[in-house]
Amino acid sequence: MALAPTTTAPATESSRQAARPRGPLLKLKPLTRQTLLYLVLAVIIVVQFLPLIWALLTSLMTPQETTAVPVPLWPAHPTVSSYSEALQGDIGRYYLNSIIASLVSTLVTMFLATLAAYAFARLRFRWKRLILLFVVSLSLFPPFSQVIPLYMVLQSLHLIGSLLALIIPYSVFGLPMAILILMAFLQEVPFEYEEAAALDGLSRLGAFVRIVLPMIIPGLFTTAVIVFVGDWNEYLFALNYTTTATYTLPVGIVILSQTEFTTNFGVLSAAMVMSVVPLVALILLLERRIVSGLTAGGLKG
Amino acid sequence: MATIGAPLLQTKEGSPRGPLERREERLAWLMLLPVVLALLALGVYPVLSTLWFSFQQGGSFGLGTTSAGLANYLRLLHDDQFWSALRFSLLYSLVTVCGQMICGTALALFANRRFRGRWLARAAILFPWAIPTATNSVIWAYMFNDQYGLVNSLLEHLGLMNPAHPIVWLGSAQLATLLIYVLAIWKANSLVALLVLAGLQGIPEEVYEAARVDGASRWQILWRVTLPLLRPVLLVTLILRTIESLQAFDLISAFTNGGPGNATQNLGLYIYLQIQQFGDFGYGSTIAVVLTAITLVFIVLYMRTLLRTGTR
Repeated sequence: MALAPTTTAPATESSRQAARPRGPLLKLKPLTRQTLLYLVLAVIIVVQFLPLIWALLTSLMTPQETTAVPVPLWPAHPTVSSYSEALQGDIGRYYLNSIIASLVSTLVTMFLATLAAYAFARLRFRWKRLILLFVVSLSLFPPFSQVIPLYMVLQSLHLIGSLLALIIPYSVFGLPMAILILMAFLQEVPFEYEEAAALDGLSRLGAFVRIVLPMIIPGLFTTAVIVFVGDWNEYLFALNYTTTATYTLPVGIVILSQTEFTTNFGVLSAAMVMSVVPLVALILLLERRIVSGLTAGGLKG
Repeated sequence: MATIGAPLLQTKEGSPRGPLERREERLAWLMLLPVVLALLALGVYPVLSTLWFSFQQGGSFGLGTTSAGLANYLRLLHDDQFWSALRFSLLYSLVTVCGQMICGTALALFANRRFRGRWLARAAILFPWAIPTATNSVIWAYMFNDQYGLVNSLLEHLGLMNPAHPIVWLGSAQLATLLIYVLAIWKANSLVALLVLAGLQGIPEEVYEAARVDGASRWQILWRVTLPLLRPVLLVTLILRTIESLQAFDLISAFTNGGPGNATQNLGLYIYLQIQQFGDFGYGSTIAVVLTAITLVFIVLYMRTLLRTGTR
């Protein structure tokens, strides 16, 4: 963000006094303005959370309630039977698939991205800018230009129908974003620490592992969460490279909605709530860190 | 850290000379090698392979195809469904990106004010990003279900709709298109808001102070000071959102699946139809190449913007 130089003339005492009575645009009493502000906040919260609230309410309704016309707006007899039914069905397996695929991919991505990010952020080498541009530009290509040939490769390796068919592409396609975010965190570590480590006889690699890495643990964690959310939410590759045994949650929920939509709103809602709530909890907890991480990576998703 | 182009600007390109520098270069390449190889194998090879497939025809799911020359590209010219999908893709990008930019910026300006409970506003902004696009679309489809959905239920409870004649939201081409726009704007607001919020925090308080001293009203400060200063951020966000919107798939696929009829089918869904339903990898790849070519224009724009903001 290039900031224009502030060329405003220095304020004299008289102009400062002249400016003061102007005040806010809307000439409202402070109390009304305050009320208005919180009214806007309330509207924003309702609009943003409405889908989740509705899924939550529906998941607590009885099957009779979810298919009544008109549907009640509130569960009269809250029950968690939808949740146990969802977990006993295929949803439990989709859940496990999602967890394994996302977790393993995130670990691989983080390992490779940390090494690369350090090289980009700290080491001098030829064609650095060019290679960085290559990495960034690849993340912007439509996944549709990759989905077909990768399918053929994975099929020839007999991986379609195993979770590796997801782990391999996820691990790689999460790299550009992770590298960009990690670079931003690495650039905040002062060079002096590595210089001191070099004086103490540590190699570059040694300084990286023993000095720099421990300093960016919060950054590593933030990046991992962002990468994990991306993998957890991925749909296109999961849709193409999975079979019923390896469906992930998003794919499983969409397929459930297309086959059992008219009969099982409660179970479907319970599945959706369960797939969303762990992430939401994580995000509300780490809100500030994730925002800074996301903006550092230039935002994709 | 909030600066988007910063990583590019801070990379110093030096030409290594001594043995120490050579060792540094060797270490850098060792650290980069896995990433570069992986991206070449899973990023570059498939793109080239898709290009090759676009000159192939016949076969089933990519097996037993024969050379087609330019036949697939000529087929595009006479394929009405392709043109309608292309039209939808472009219109969808135009409408939703505009909506996202306006709503996202407004949200960011609101969340940048100082008040108690501001964290709630920020959490609310972040939330849509966290739910899977596909799952979210299923929830929305359910909310707008004509029989058991929240919206019709609300209308009935309020006495605004006759239960005998429910509004079939996803059954009309116009309504379904409108709802997709609303959904897409709702879902991606948060990304725009987050970037703009970071940009806002990069503007020093003195700038506002100076404008206020000069007697500028709030409205004037917004249009003459804040937005011009945000220009680089807004530009990058605009390009990134356009790229994403052109590639949309999850959101529409799980919401209307292109329906009713083909009214909401975009290029992504049409490619998916060709490869998954018809097993026609050749023609599917051809459409993918067209989509990539359109995206490439914006990727180049993005790279140029990044480099320019990087060398301020």
